[in-house]
Amino acid sequence: MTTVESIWHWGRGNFGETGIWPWYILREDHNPLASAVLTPALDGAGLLALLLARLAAAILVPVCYGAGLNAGLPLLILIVSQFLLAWRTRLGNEGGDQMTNIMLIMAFLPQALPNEPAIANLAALFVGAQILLSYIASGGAKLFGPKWQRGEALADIMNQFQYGNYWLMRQLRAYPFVCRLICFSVILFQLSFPLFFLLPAPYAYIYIAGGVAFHFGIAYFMRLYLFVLTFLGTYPCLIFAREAFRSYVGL
Amino acid sequence: MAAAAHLHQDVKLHVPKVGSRLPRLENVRANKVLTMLASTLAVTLAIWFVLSALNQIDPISKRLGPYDPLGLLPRWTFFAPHPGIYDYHLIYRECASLEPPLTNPQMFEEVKHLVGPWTQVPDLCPGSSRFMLWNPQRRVTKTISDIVAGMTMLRLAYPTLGDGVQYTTFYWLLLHLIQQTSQRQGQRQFALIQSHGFPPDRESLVFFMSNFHPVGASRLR
Repeated sequence: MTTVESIWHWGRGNFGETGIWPWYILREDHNPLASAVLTPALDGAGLLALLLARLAAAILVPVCYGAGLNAGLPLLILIVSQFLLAWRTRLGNEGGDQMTNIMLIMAFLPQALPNEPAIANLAALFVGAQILLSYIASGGAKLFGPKWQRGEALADIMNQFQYGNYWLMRQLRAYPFVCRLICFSVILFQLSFPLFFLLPAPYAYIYIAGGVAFHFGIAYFMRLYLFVLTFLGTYPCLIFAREAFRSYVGL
Repeated sequence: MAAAAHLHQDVKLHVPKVGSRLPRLENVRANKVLTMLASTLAVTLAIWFVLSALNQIDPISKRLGPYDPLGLLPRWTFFAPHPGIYDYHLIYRECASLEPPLTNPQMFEEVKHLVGPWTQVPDLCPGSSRFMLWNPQRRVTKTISDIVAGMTMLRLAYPTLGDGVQYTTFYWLLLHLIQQTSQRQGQRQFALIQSHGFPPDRESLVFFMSNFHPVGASRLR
């Protein structure tokens, strides 16, 4: 998805000399030698080639998995190009990109070392742990925010063009109790996420349902759809981590 | 891959197809190599996770930042503790004349009649995309937000920076963007406006205002 977006931006000239991410300015913030070496891949036709290679790699990954082939090379192309693009652009990246980086590396490791099943298990556990950390950190940070403590944060977030929604903002302002309820529910959901590992099925899967609703809500009202793909895409690893944890502690 | 090659040299084994599970190993030494790899990876991932957890704490994150050029340590504190609630708009105005160079406010008074109104750069405006599943423009508006965040950090780190901000890539990028709006020669001044809310209740204030710069005939490059 990010590759398609990047190609769209390339087509609109946003990476070019008249665009919002012109290399001749952005390179000033980087090491001159590194900039000189990487310029052929980060500007002009070279950048388009990099983006197309990335698109091809993104298509090849599921094809390889489906055909039982090793997807290590296309995953490596995705990883290298992901870091190159983030290094080049530096501005305009978002939180979902962080999870994409982790997912790509963790998907690559078992492909790079296919003869060791433990590698895949470790990679899945790491992703599950990062998801858990993301919810706890996000919920914990909200506890220290005055707007979140007063239950006003969501109405304020909705009251902007960039990530907001006029209709939802009006509803939350009209019904402040609902706004407070949603704010506190989000904090409670995120901070109590460790219960997903402790509760038995099917009760534990309330958290999966809650996560799906949470991320789809963010996608719909805030137009941040990348989180649906990156975070919900990690839920199989989360479920695996839960099973591994419960098996280890004897639950 | 390297482990598999090493395995092939040390022991006589049927090398399996890539991606398939290994049959039961006959050579203990080969098994130990693979187990060492898994152990090393486990330790590496554990360290990575601990650092990721520490990176959620602001003071620690600032210390770790310089050692993480690849951005491998995630920050999961989205919209918290202080959620982003502002829109940022890039506006500019133009003086039709290149002379005199408007380097101080007194000069501005002399040519005020030649200065046009403030105009918004349209392509950078945060707008409500109708499409939930397609909103690539968000990265453009996020870029402006990141520039604002960067300039804020600079102000905090260097309170006496003053006109020194003109030598940062943040400033150059903004100047570059207003240059693209027209090829007319003149002097342009830009400003970043911070707003909150929807019209007609929108509240705005000036976050930053630049000096006048000659554009058109003399460009950044």
